[in-house]
Amino acid sequence: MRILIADDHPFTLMGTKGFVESLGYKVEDICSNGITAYNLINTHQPNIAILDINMPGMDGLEVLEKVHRQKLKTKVILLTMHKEMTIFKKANQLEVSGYILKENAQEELQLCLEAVKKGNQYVSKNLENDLLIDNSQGSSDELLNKLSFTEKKILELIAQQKTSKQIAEMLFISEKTVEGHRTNIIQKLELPKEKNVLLVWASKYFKG
Amino acid sequence: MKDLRECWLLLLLVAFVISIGQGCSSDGDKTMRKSEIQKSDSIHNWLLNDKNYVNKEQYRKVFMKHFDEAIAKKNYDEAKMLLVDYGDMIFPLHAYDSLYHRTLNNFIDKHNETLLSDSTSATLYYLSANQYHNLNQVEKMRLFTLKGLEKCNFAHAENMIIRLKNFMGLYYTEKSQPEKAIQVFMEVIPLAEKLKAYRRLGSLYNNMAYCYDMLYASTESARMYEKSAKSFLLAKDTTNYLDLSITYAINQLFFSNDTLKTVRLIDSSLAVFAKYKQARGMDSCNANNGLAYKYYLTKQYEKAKYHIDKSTDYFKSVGNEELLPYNQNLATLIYFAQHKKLEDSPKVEELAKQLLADESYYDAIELYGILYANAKTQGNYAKALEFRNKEVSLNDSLTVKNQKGQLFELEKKYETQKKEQEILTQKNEISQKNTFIALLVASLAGLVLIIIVYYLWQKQAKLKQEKENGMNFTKQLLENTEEERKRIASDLHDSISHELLNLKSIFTQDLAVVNTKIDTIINDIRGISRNLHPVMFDKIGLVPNIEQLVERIQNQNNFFISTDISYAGKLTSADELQIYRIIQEALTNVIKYANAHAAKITIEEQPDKILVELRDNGHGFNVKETLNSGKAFGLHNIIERSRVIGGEANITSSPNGTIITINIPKKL
Repeated sequence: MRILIADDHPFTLMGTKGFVESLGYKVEDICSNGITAYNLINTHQPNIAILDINMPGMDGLEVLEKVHRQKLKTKVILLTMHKEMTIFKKANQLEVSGYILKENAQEELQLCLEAVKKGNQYVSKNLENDLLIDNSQGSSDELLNKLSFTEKKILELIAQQKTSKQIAEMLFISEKTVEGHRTNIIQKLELPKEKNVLLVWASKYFKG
Repeated sequence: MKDLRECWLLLLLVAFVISIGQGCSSDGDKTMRKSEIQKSDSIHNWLLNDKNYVNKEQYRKVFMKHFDEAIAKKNYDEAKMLLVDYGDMIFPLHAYDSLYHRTLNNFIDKHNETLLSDSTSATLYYLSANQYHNLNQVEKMRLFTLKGLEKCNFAHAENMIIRLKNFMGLYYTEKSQPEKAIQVFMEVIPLAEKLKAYRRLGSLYNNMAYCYDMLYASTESARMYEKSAKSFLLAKDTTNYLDLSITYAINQLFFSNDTLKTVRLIDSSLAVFAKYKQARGMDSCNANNGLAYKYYLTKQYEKAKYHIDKSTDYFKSVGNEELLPYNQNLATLIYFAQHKKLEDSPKVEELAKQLLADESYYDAIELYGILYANAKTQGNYAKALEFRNKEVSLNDSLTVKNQKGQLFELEKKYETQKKEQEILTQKNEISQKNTFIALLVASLAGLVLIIIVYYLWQKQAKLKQEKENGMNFTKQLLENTEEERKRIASDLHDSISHELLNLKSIFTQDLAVVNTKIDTIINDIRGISRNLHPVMFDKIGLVPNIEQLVERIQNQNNFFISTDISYAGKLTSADELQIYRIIQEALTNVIKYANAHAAKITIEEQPDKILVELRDNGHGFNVKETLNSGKAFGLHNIIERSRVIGGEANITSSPNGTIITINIPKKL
C-alpha cells in the first residue's frame, strides 16, 4: 500500500503523515503543492493519494480531475476543511474515493482508508447538507419535516384557499408542477384519497 | 379755333413722315455696324463711306464685284457683311433699291436654312423688310419682320428686337389697327429705356402718338408728343425735337385752349433748338411753321404770312407735294384773318377737298368754315349753304369720332386704374403672404430653437443626475466597504475571539467539550468566509452556486424562488461572479422591500447574448425616483455590475411586481 500525501500546511502534512504511518500504512511521497502532487502521482502511481483541496499551483479538485480524466489507478481521498455540499458534489462527479473533513480526520481517516482499500467510496459522516435550516420559523412537527421547502410553501398557500392556478402564478411555476407537488404532499402525509383532503388538512393544520 | 386745328394737324403729319424715316433709320444702325467696321478691311470702309455713294452706279458695281467674289468663294459671312454694308448706306434714304433688294432676297432665299441666329442674319431680314416698307408692301414687310424676330435669340438682341417690333407697330398702323400697334410699341419701350436708346424711344413715342391720333385720343397723343420731344432732346436729335416740341405746343393749345402756353412752348422750343444749331432745310420749315403759328395766334398776320411763305417756298423748292397743302391751309387761314375774305375761293374749295381726301378733317372743316363765311359776305347764299352743310356734317362726324376717342381714353384710364388697383391688391397680397411666411419661418425657427434649448437642458440635467448618482454610488461603495470591514471585524472579534477565549478558559476540562468548542469555531470561520465569498466559486461554476444561493435564501427567509436556467458557461469566471452578485443583490432587495410571494430567476443563453431576468410579484416601486434618491445602492450596484461585464440592466416596476433584465452580449 503506497500512499501519497499533499498539503500546503507543513504541520498538517507532518501530522497527517504521522497519523497515517501510525495506522500502519507506508507513506511513499509527501508534497506541499498540487503540481508536484500530480507529477508524483503520474510517475509513482501510488495506491492512494490523500489531498488537501486548497493548495498552491493546482488544487486538490484539479488534481482529482486530471487523475479521473487520465483514468489513473491512484485513488484520491480529499482531506479538507470544506464542508460545502457544492464542492462535494463536484468531487463526487469526478468519482472521488474518499471525502473527509480535517476536523473529523482523527475519527474518520482510518475508516476511510480501509473503505478505499476495499475499493469502496467513503464520505464523511459529518458532511451534512450545507443548508443551514432555520428551525426557529418552521414547525418542529415531524409530519411537516417530511415535506420539501416547495411542498411546505404550497401547503401554506393551499391553507389560504388558493387554487392551483393562483399558486402557480404566485410562485412563478406551472400549474402542472403545483398539481405534482399536491400529489406528493398527499402521499408523504399519507392522507386518504378524498375530495379536498389537502385543503381540509392544511386549513386545520395551519389554524392550529 | 378751327384754323388752329388745321395747323396742328399739318405739323403732326410732317412729324409723322419724318419720324418714320429718321426714327427707324438713324438710331442704332451705325452702332450696329461698329463691331464689323473695326475688323473690316478697306472694302467695308469704302462701302460705308457716304461720299462713295454719290456715284451710285460705281458704288453698285464695286458692291456686286465683291459680293459675287464672296459667293464664289462660299465666304457667306463676308457676303452677309457686304449686304449689311450696302443696306446701311441706303437705309436713311428711304428709297427703294431694286438691285439691292433682289440681291438681298436671293441671298436670303438660298441660304435660309444655313442662316444662323446671329445679329447679321436678323439684320438681313430687317433690311429686306425695310425695302418692302419703302415699296409700301406691308404684308411682305410683316413677313420679313417676323422672320427677323425669329432669328433674334442671340445675346444683346434687344436693339434689333426694338427695330423689328417698331416695324410690326408700323405694319399695324398701316393696317389701321392703332390699338394693336400701340400694344407692340409699348412692349419695346422698356427695352429702349433700358438701353438708353433715346432717339429710338422718341420715334416709338412719336409713332404711338400717331396711333392715338388715329383713335382721336387727343390727351394721350399730346402726352406721347411731349414724351417724344423730350426723348429726342435727350438724344440731342434737335431736328426731331423741334418738330415734336412744336407739334406738342400746338397740340396743347388745341386741347387746353391756352394760347399763352402754346406761344411760350413754341418760344422755348425754338430757343432750345437755336442753342444747338441754325435752322436749315426741313428744320427751318418747322421753325417757320412754329413762328407762323405763333404770329397767327398773336394776330401779327404780316409776320405770320412771312414765315409760312418761307416754309412753303422751301417745300416747293424740294418738290415736297405732300406737305404743301397744309402750308397752304395755314396761309389761307392767315389771309382770311387778315383780309376777312378769300383770295381765290374755288382754289380754297379745291384745297378743302384735297384735305378731306387725306382725311384731314380738322383742316377741311376750318376751310369750309372760311368758305362759308366768305360766300356769305359775297352774297352767294347757295354756296354758303352748301359749305355750311358740309362744315356741319363734317363737324358732326368729327364730334362722334372725338367722342369715341374720349371714350377710348376713358376706358383706357379705367383699365389702367383697374390694373393699378389689381397690382396694388396683388402687392398687398404678396406682402401679406410674405409677412405670413416670415412669421411662419420665424415661429418655426423659434420652435426649433426652443426644442434645441429644451433638449440641451434635458441632456444637461440628465448628465448632472448621472454624475450625482455616480458620486453617490462611489460614496456608498466606500461606505459599504467600510461597513463590510466593520462586520467582518465584529464577526471575528465577537464570535471567533470570544469562542477562542472560552476555549482557553475551559482547556483543562473534558476533551469532548473542547472538541465541540473547536468545531463551533471552525463553523464560525466557515460562515464568515462563505459570507465574504462563495467558496471556490470558479471551480464550482455559476449554476450550482446560484442553486445553492437560492436554497439558502429559501431556507433562511422562508421565501420561494423558482429558477429557469439554461446556461452552458460561456462567460469568464469573473463575469459569472458579477452575475452571481447581481442575483444576490436583487434577491436581497426583493426580500427586504418587495413583500412578494415569490421570485423567479431566469438565465437564458441566446445566440448572441445572455439574458438574466429577475422577476418578483411584490408591490413594486418608482424606479426613476428611487434611482435618483441617492439611497438605492442595491439598484445602482446591479446597474454598475451589469455595466462592468458589458451588459445593460433594465429595471421596470409596477404594482404587480418588478422585473430586472440584464442583457450581456457574448464576447466574440
